[in-house]
Amino acid sequence: MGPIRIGVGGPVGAGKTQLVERITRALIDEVSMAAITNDIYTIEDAKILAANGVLPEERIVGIETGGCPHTAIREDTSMNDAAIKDLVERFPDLELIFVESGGDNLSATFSPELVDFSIYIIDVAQGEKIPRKAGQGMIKSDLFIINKTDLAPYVGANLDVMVEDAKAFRKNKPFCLTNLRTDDGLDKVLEWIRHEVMMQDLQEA
Amino acid sequence: MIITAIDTNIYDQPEFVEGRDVIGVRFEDLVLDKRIQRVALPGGEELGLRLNHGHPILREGDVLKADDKTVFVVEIIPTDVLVITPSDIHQMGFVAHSLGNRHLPAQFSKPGELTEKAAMIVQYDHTVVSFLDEHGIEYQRTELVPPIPFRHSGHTH
Repeated sequence: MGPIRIGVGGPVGAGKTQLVERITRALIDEVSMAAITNDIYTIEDAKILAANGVLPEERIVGIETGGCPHTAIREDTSMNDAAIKDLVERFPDLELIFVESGGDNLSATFSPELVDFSIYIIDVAQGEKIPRKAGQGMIKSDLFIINKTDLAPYVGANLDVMVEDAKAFRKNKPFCLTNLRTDDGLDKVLEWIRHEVMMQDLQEA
Repeated sequence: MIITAIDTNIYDQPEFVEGRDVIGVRFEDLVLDKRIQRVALPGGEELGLRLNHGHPILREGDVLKADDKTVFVVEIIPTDVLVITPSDIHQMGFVAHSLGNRHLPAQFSKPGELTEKAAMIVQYDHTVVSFLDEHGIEYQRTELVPPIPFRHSGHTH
């Protein structure tokens, strides 16, 4: 049935690459994984992931989208589709592929043909009001992450307000608070992957 | 239990039901094309859907699980939509161009299908309502199960 694809979107600097790095580091012994990064004119995110992470370089593909990165994850996904096909051919045992979008606006969402699940990540320092702005990325994503919680006191952001707004817009869809520099809150993200994405507790018929 | 394919639909094969109770499992329009998802059956059991890439999207009446007594089938929850019925081709072109520029997912119905006139159907959005009101374009807000699910969400820069 092929690997499960998880899209990771969010504004520039929110922690998308770091999230992929921390998840892959935690799951490397139990799951066969790969990652695709989308940047506008560089493959910087792929290089950072290769330099800092545990995924072997050949399991990381960098894509230069050449334009607004959201177009490559929603309107014309052909570059990402080709990268997934290539990865699956080279690593037939792949179970999970992360498709990281380039840092983009609050409306960036993934085509349902490209990914099976999407994570939207923001950081506290971008402002307490972000969840309240009701961007489609935040509302529609399968998992919403508010990162860099340790910065809240320095930027005058009230986490309780962000949590309440996230609940109001997402109804009962899950979200987590993380500080990915210390892996604080990462366990919730991993639990979501094991339970909702990989459904490890359910048996095949 | 994890299901990897759905091969029966009670509307295509009504004989499948034969003396069994049909129980609807409610799905929102937005999740019909999610090939991997957990599904809570009425009664508490949880199913996992893990369909192949390219598997057809879920349809009303698709059989999720069946035993001697019951058949669990997909039941789609109606979606809040705006059914827009422009008065002439000039207004139609204007509406389609303006809303198209917002990258809104849209569907179209022929005369007599949904309403007497041909219609453009979009998901309810208060900014679309303001636009339609401002330009005096006829529409109706209603709840229905669209022929195909609305896919991509809105787009702004």
